[in-house]
Amino acid sequence: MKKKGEMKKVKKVKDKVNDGQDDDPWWWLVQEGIRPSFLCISLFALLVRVAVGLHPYSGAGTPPKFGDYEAQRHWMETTLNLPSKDWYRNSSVNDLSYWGLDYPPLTAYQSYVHGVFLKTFDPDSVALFTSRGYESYLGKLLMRWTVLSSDVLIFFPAVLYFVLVYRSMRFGMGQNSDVAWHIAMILLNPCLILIDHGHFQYNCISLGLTIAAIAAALSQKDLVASVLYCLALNHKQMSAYFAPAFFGYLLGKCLRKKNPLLEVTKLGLMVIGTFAVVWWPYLQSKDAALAVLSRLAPFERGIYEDYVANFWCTSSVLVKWKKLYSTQSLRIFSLAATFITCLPSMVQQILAPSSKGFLYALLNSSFSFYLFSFQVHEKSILLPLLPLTLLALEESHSILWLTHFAMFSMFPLLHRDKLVLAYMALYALFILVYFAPCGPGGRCHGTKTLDNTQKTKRSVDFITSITFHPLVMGFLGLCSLILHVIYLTMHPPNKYPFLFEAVIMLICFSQFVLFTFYFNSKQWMLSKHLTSKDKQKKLI
Amino acid sequence: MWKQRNMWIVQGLDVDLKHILISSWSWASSIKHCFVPSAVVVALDVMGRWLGGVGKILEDVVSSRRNFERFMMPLCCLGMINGILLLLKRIMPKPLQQSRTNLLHYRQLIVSHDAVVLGTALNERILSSLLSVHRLKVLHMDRNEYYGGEPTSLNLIQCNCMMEMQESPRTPVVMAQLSWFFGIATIVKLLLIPSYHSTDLEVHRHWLAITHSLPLSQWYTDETSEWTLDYPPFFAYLECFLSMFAHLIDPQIVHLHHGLNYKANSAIYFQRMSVIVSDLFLLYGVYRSTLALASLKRNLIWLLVIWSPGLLIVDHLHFQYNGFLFGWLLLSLSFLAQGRDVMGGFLFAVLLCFKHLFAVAAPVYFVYLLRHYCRGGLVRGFARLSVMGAIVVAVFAAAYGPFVYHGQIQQVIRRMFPFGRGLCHAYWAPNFWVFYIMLDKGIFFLLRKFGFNIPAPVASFTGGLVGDASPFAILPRVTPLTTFIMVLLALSPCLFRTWKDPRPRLIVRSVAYAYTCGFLFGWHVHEKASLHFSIPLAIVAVESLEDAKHYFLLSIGNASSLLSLC
Repeated sequence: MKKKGEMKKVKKVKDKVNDGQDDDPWWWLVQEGIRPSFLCISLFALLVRVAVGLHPYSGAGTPPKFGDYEAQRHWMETTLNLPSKDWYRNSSVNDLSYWGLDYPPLTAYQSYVHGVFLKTFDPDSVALFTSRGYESYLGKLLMRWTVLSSDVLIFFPAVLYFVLVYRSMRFGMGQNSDVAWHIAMILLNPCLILIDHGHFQYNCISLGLTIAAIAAALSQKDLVASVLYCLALNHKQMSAYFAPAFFGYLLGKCLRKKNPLLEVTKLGLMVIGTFAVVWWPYLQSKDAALAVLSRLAPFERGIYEDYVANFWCTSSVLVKWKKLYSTQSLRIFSLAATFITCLPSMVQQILAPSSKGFLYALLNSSFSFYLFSFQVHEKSILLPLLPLTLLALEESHSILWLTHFAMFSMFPLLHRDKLVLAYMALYALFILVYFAPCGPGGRCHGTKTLDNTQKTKRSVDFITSITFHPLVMGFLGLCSLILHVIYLTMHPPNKYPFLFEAVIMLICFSQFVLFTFYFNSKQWMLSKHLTSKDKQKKLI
Repeated sequence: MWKQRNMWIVQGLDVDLKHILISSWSWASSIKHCFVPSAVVVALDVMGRWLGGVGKILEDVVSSRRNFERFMMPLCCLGMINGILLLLKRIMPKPLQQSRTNLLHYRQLIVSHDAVVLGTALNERILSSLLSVHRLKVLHMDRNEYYGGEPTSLNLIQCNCMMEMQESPRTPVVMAQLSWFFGIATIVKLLLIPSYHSTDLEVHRHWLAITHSLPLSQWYTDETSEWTLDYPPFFAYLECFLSMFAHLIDPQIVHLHHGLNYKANSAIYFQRMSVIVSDLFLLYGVYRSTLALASLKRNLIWLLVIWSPGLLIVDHLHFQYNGFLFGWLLLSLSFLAQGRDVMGGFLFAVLLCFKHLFAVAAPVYFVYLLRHYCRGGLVRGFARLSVMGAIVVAVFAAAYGPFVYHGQIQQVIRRMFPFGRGLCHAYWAPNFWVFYIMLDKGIFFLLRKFGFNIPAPVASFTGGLVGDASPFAILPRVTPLTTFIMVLLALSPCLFRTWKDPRPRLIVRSVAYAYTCGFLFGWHVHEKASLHFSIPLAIVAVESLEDAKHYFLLSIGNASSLLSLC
């Protein structure tokens, strides 16, 4: 009898549990508004970054060339010990063949500042000549701190700025927990964390500046946006991937103002002014400027490196580009291909600049650069991923899928860096955050809302139905999972030592191309949709 | 339907007052001021530690690490003792003090009416209209956002709302949400695998080797390494179980001699993974102990326990199996809180055979079970007492039986209670004895200054074995017996309270209090022991704002006292 009574008690308790479930599981995080929840999420993101920093960096313990870590350290060494004129010049004190500085001046200044920081705590690590291949616990720690600090100082505030602007743009839409999810998607992007804090680079600076520029452009501060974007461009020339979108959007907006010529001149002056300030030490003579420029465009390194999932590398399985054509003609080919592919999105922005279209244009132009431009690296996938994460709330399907393939395309690189554990952990983290309970990611994969069905009626329909078909997704997901396992456990046949890399590249490339089409059509649909709306308004 | 102070409260079939009171937002909004800042501070704190090099840089600043510790300890002490005093106040709650704030709110609402009708289904509607016909002032409440309960017609938005209610998470969904929280924690743990680890990693590896390569009769006598087995037998069995897998992965891990100080990746990864997997017990423990709570409180407890910085530091940086053990403790407490005393007692007995340091709460358990389980007359009480006794004896027999058989029980006990190790651990725990020692040092210093010639103590406080010499210059020496009596004295109010009023609701609170006492006055207390109370306290913390404040204070003190571990 007693036992029965107890059972009933338990049942009652369970019933109660079932009753009180309507609360938001994210209440504790989002109840105070965006800023505190941003603080919490960014603290967690920081924690993840610190934890990834415990893992090895690229080229750890592999003399004589080491890896990107050594390159960055070497730049600190040269910038700290040499006058700025010698930074880009081959001389007896600066051997450019050993990790010579090949990023724009802002990177050099940043290296100088970090070099000063390193010198105060560990002078040996940046001593001229003697510090080559220097590796120590303290040195690694300090270097990791420099990336962390630049992340915190530039990337995080930029993201906060963007989220606030974006929130005010689509105000009234979505709950607080959606915003928190969006922040988490941007800050916990696994690729960026792995490359910056695992592999070791400073992408957070140029990407942070780009985000700030995007936010400024969205909030109608065009001049600030152009300055910030020029800074990003001067930190890493790869930021040029976004140039067509910025150009199109800003130009399109100028043309719609009262005095287009004045606006364009203002923007032009800002750009030239920023460049002049950053390049000041090299503008004294023509030779110095040209020397820097030649360092920035390393055409001698060939049209592609390793196994990057872009057009040139993938098609080289069939057409041996490097053998058939000279570097000179390949340069022209790639330039033309890039220009043609990013032209539609640029034109669309000049004709009908809109904030959403701008984000799509960023995505499209960076994708066309990634696929067709000269000398692309696996890591460059970070650039298309950035606008995609900014669009996370609109493109919640594609962000999951594309991040998966971006991660996959970098897997061989990260495997070489012995970052497989961090890779798996961060991948799982991304999946978990994406499918957070009651978050938008979990929701959109559950029941289809009214919105979705309406959208898919358009002509994007075809591509969407291919890319997001459960069978296709399941098949590709399974394929990549099996490939991961094979890559980790088996040796490739002797005849084709890079067989697995090539297969990975093929799969990723096919997806990237599909997505490029999808996003391009999405961007054009957007403007059609808008114009039809305008027409309706006019009719009314 | 019941009457209270000349006022009628009518309860519909599908609602109950408690539910409404508990999930009330007024309570929620009062607690919110406490949690976000605490989460931020704790996270910041952990971050600082994980930066790893902070200590190294600070070392240059403060010239030596020891100095730094001495400087930190009194601060931590003050924080802890403050929190504990507050806790003592809370352990004797006046009835309903926990929910006083929200009750006040509702009382005002309720008192201003003549009748309160809960639920708006047909019966209640008729009732309330009848009451109002009789000129009574009626408060009509419903948990839904619309009027009319089940037999009502809704517009589209309300319909949507109802659909969401219907889709509201059931138990599997609760488990899924909890697993989500747990998954995030697991990822942090995975990322921490290559981080710093203490000698405990080697200790546990050596235990794997002992239990794998030696027969059971030599487990507690082996002296191959200085890290002898000093946990109770169940833990040794666990190590034996783990060593089977370790042998499959890399035989050198479990080799008694070749394995000494074996630091290959295989060993580190295997051991770290074993801790991460064993944390599943913690997951289940938390799940069980939060089953009966509203979702908001449940979420907060998950956060506080599963993402507990202290637990992460001790288990996944320092290396121990505390998550596993706390899983057992929480399971036992959850059974007690449900009123299933036999199961709770059984689990606690098992826990004691895993790690004897949990025995500090044994008096509380004993008194509680005696008064709560063994009640109902002399005969039945005695019968129940013997049932409980038999269970506990059976558990202990399963653990110690083999060693009794081999005639080694004394050796086992000697290993488990190394009283020769001194009052304080090498890393001081911020407890009462720190003040005692500082007082001694202070008097010694002053007397010397005034010209008294007092010999300096031979033994030091931190240097492991003390032997016979007293480390105190002036004050009387502290023996294990003194500390034992002090702990019992500190425990007595709680025991008294439990004796007088054994309530399942208060058991978690009392157990947490018992561990605090053990931490404050115990012999050779390690700072890791502060986890013993901070984890159960997390469950108490969501009960009211004041509890949350105490928890906050204690957990900050706790986290900063763990600083010297890393």
